[in-house]
Amino acid sequence: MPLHGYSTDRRPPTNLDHLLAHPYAFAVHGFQMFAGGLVLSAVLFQFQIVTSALKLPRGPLVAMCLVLILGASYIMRGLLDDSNDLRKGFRVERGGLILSGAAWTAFSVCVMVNNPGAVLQWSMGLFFSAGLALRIIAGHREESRVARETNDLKL
Amino acid sequence: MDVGSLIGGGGLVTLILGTGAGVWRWVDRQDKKKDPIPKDAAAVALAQSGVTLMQAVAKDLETRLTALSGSNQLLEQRVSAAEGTIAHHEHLFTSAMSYIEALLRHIREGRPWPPSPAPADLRDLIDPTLHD
Repeated sequence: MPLHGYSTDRRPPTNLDHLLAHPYAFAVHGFQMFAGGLVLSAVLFQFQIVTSALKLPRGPLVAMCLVLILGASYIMRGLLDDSNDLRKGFRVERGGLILSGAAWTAFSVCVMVNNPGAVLQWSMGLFFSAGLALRIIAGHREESRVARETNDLKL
Repeated sequence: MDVGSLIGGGGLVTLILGTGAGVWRWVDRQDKKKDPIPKDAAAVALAQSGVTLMQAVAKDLETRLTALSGSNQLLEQRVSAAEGTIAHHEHLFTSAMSYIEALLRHIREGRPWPPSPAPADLRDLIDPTLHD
């Protein structure tokens, strides 16, 4: 596996180092926060934006926006985590990934039901959900590997 | 309420979000039960696994080098044998040239026949009836 990922010798790494190590994650979840915040603001402050998600009743729509924002913030917090327990970063990120996956799947279903012709919108949500699922698997494997090797060292 | 309006009315969205939140709570509770992984211990463990990996690479390289050294020895033996053959052929060539020169001098000077016998090291190359 080629080592194309960014790494640094700085201890602890800076926020810029984290950003350079996970550029796509920060970009996608930054967009996720922006989208959730925008739709939520449109609902709360009654201004006009165009998205099929607005056809949802107010309750589920607000919940979806909140889950999008919460999921993205958890993922970013998990990726930026520098606490002494490595498990914490994985745990927080995993929570965010699950919430974000649910929110994007809900968004895709909502667009698919209300506006099936908007293929780009609902397929984008599904692709994001697939990517998040893969990241959950990758994070779990990496966490297990680190835990196993740390336990081997103790024995 | 029919199924279409239930889905369009946010029922499915609520169900997905509720399931996601439930899974998150359950996974988070499971994760909190796990032992912590101290960063320093993990760094040492990962570094050690890196060293183990490098040792495996070094061992593989050593095996390859041993095999290469074996084949190199064989090659050296063959080169040495070829050098011996070349030296032998050079010796034969020199003897043959000396003998030819001796024969030519013998003929030019009109000395009586037969000329001097063929040198011992050329005898394997020359027809035995012409040796003496």
